[in-house]
Amino acid sequence: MARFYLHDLIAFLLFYRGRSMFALAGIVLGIASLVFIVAAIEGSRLKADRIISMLGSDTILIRSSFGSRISFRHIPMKLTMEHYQKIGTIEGVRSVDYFYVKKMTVARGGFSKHLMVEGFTPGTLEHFGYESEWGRFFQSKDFKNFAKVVVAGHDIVDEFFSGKNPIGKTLLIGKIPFRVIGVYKRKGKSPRGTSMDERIMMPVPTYRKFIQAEYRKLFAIAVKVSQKDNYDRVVSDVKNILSRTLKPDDYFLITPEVIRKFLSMLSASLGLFLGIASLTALFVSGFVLSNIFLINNRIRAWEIGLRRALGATRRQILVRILLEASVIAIAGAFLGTLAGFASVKYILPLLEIPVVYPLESFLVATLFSMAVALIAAWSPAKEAAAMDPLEALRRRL
Amino acid sequence: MLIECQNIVKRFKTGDIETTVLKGVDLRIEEGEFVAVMGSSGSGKSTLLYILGCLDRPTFGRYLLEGKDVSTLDDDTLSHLRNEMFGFVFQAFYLVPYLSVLDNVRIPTLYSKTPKSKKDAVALLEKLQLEDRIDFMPDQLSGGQKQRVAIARALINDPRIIFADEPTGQLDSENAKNVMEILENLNEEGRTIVLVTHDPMMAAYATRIVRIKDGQILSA
Repeated sequence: MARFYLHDLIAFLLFYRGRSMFALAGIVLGIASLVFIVAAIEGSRLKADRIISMLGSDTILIRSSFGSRISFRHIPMKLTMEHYQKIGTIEGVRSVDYFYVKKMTVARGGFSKHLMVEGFTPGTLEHFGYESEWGRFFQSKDFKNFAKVVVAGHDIVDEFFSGKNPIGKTLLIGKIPFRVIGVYKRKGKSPRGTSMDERIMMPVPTYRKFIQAEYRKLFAIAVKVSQKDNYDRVVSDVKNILSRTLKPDDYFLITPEVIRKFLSMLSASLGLFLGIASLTALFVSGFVLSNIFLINNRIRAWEIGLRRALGATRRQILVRILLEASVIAIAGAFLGTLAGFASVKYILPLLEIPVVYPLESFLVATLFSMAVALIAAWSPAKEAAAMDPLEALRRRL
Repeated sequence: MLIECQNIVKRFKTGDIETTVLKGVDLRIEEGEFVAVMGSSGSGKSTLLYILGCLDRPTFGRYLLEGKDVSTLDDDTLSHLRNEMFGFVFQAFYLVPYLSVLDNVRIPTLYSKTPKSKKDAVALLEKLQLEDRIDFMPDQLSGGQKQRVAIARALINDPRIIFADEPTGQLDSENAKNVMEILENLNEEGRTIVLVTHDPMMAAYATRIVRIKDGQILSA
């Protein structure tokens, strides 16, 4: 009997599909926005975790600020070797590394390209979680001997060596030949969306000698704290040291807290905007659904009268109409979740937020759409249930 | 006594105007009777039928069904009574357009405490020679077929009384005859039939004719 009941109910919704679809559309829109918000917030959290794990939860990264000019050729590098040395003396600091970055023309055969060339201190590659895939990373002899060696990413291998193992082969960086000694495992995209596999690294002494003579100016300083309890104090001490010679705009400090704050602010503002849009859509869809059910009451009054004549109680009519609204709500939640996932797939990458499909959002969507549908259908359902059977029968259009 | 009406009065109010449609109707119907209530348009015959069918309540008077005053029953009890004891056949058929012939017949089972099966509905449709129309939709049927489906729907819960309001009003003479013969057969099976009509040819199928004029019974 339950099967026939459901068949009867769905047949009604399909027969008046124009109106059913109209009621459904609003719910789908509202739910899709809701799912997108949940995915954006989860994606932002995931992104924060990824950046923090890349950086290390015990790390403070101090970077020269780009200012208004976003170019690695003209970064006003205000961080200096003195800053590096002073930071190294802070109590609770386990290690300090620094590195340089400069865009250089890299060539091989007839092909050349402007690429980021970085000068790393011993251990910096390991510090940032780079892993060797082919060849090796730098050894102390490379630092001592100003060895003209580089470690490259897979994009470099693809562009300059057609994807083949480049170990032992040379690249011209600013017309100076450098030997490739290692290739690191793919890192994918950076949080800013740029490829992390299109980089060339060399030992700091080599970098100073061949790439940047003005070696006292640094691109970044990476500080590792010995104990987590010391973290906040070390951050404060670092700020004190930097503020003695630098303006706040000259550098920026990247800590796990800063990353979390930034991304939670981003997802909060996105959530606020879409939350308002979603609630508006759900409110409007509730209004539309309520009016559609009221129109249905006019059109099917005779049918309600017939069902009452055939034995349906007022309560059975009320339940029937609320169930019709529930079916629309469940279909709206399902389709809205699918539409939300589709928008997650295509929109989140544009916002550089990792794509996540939060399955629990279907549950949230179902609860929201059920609540909207039941509230919206309550008044029409009560109206239908209160109809006088004979009056209703006579209202056949 | 199956049905007993005592001084039934029915008044309708439209704005400030009050109309008395039934003016003290007394009527008794025995179990197994085939009663035709005959009268012209506006005589109150349909109003009487709907009061007997518990779709409407009298303004005054008592309506006793098997000796029990139904005017004191609550709405839910009246619904159960209509579902279990009565079958309705209307002039306009009232077939639900989005359900097949079979499903239309099964509608009353949705509200039944002991629902009849799909097989019972099929058997009824076979009895009414509609077995080849089981999966048809109402708009694919002729008027006569529609009314036979409505009769099958009225019979699905095996009611004791069938109320038929001008059941042949929208049918040609051939189909009208067919429908009346079905009602006649149902009466022969032991069911009580209360038919409302203005057509003497249709009333002739009944075992008793009750004439009504201006809300009053002329002869019972």
